[in-house]
Amino acid sequence: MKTIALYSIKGGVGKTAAAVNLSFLAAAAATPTLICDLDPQGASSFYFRITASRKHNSEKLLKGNSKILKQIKATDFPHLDLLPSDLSYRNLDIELSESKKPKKLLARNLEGLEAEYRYLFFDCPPNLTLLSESVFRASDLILVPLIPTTLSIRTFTQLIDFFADNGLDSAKIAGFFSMEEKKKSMHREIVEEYQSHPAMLKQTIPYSSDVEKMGLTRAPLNATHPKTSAAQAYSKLWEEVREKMDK
Amino acid sequence: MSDTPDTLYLRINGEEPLVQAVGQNLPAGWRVGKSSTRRERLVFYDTFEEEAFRKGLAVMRRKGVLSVIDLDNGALEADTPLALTPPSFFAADLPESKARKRLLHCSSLRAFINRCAIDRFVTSWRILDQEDKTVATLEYESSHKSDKSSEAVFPRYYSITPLKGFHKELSTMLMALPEPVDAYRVTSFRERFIAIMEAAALLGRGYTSKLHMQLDPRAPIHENVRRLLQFTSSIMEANEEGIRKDIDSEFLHDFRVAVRRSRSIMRLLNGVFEPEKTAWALTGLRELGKRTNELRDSDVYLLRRDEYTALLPTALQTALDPFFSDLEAEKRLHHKHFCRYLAGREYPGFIATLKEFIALDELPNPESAPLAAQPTGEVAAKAIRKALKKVLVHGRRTGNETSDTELHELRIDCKKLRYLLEFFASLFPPKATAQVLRQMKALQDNLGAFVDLSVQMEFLQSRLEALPADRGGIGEAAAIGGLLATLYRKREKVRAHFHEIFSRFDSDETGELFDELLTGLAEA
Repeated sequence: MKTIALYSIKGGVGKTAAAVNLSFLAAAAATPTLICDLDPQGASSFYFRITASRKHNSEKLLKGNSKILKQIKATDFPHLDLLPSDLSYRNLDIELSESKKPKKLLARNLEGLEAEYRYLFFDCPPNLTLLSESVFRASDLILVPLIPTTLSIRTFTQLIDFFADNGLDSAKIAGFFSMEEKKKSMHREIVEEYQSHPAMLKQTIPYSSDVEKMGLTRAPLNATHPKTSAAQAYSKLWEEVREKMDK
Repeated sequence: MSDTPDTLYLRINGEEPLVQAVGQNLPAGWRVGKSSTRRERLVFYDTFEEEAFRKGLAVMRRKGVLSVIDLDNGALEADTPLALTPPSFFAADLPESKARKRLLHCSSLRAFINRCAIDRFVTSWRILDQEDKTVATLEYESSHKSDKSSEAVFPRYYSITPLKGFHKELSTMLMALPEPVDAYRVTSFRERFIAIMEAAALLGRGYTSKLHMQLDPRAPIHENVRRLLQFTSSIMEANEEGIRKDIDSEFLHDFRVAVRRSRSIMRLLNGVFEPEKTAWALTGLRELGKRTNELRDSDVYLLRRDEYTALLPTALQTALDPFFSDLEAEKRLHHKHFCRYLAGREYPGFIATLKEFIALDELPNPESAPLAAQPTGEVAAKAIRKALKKVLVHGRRTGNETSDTELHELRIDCKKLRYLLEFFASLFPPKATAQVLRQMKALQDNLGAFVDLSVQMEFLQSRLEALPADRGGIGEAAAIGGLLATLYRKREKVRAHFHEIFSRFDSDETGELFDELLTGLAEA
């Protein structure tokens, strides 16, 4: 099982849209895939029209295995399941800090999923907390969407430094430009300058109203409008991610 | 049609539009979505003896995948890609997989035959909740035979499959369904499988070459021998098609055993019929047996390919290729000849006459057929004693050198005794028969292995002598030489064990076992 975290310290950068579309693309090749919505706002759960059952909460998530498996729900798309988010996830950090080995807890709790899924996606909340660290340790790849601005680049470098300072493997980080607007010169310049950075992927995701409309269609763009330029960009991005992981 | 563990199948009687009933019973805000239809072809495979079915498995090809399904719960046990729909295939020819292993376990010798193909039409609806999220699928399916040759009527089903994680939401809805009374009922995978087999008229054939006859010990032996011959001739007929189509080697094998069994019993119980009225049948059966010898030999050696290859060092393994390709060519030739014989005038004529003869239920003249009217139990006891005595006398007479001929003949004696025991098995207490057969097994195995190895050596020797010197046959000669040496060593080991095994058989224990078996009989 390969674990991919969609992570950004900032909100509104296209993180959930990427998690939803990439997980859909992963499952489309008949590979069992699970998307784990860790964000208490539950945006990816919303996109898949799934709400957590009343009994689901952050405590269950931290208890691990059998408790987690029971909460998994099938999406409307073959081979793609979702572990829905719950508002109680906002307490995850407090609960993690009370456990003995918080940073390794998540990795250990997910072991049972190995047999069922080829890909596991984390849609992470936008912050840098104990939970984020736990996700970093549990993931094979940390995908970071970046809007091409100087501030984003700065935050991205900070993330790489954070990895180095905390004994995490920074080679697991892969950034990609998201919500790119070609007509903005700053976007163009930044993409040009950083696209060949070793921690960056080549493929960019354009800014698109089609992606915004996912909130109305409540389905992956690649399922409803696969021909749109944004959907095509997600397809290419997934190809690149897959190749990177297969290396 | 393998089931996800949560699918609920409902068999429909009549035209009950269950989809409406489901629609009306949904919770507030839920609805049945638009329907979509699909057609799929299901091809069911099993061996001639239905070994998969007997092991509780269904073997089915659908959309390029061959699935092995547990009949008890409909769960998929294993699957493997199968691009085409072959009329038959061997488990060994499948790609390395769990499915291959499962099917090899059912049968390594028999081919899996395309038993029936059905086209299934499925209409499916999504059941959507208030968020328009699919929580389950509802499907209606109807089937018919793919070749449309039959008017077979297949049952129709509705099925409801909740999506993962949506069981609770659905259970309320299912509880609200109308009472099943007669309109529909829940059905299992096994039931659905059997319904298909029944509709395709495939069940109840229950072919087995094993003899399981219930004999009445007081009935005249004439009647029971006729019943045996009816069975053996039906086995011969049942296997003709498989031989003609060359599906697997067991068709010919069963055919040959039936021929041998018929002839052996007729000869061992030679007072049952008037000799002049059976002479033609005995000759005919012997001829028939002979005609199959070469074809059977080719089959046997081709089946040994892996075994022979494994006996040789790697460097010599490919040297046997010409040997096997010649065998294949010879097999094709023998097969052609035998098929021509089966289709010709002689064989059908012989079988027809044989069946007419078997059908004559009038007791023959007691002077020329003194046994005919005797009770089966008595005849059985005498014949078995006689056959056992023969085995013991010949076995004891076998000298220290244990010559090939002695062992060959003793093997035939044993086989005769075994045919008698199998024929009369129902007259004895089942436990006693099983014990006697077990007692005989070691001896039969030893003799069988000996003769088998001798025949192989003879065959290889003749091949060696016929090898053309100019064909670059040195490699093949070396390989055959290697095989001969190995087989020779094995055979001599078997030979060396004979006396030890025979003296274990020629014991008070065997005597007592047979006494126990036969005393009960004579008293019956």
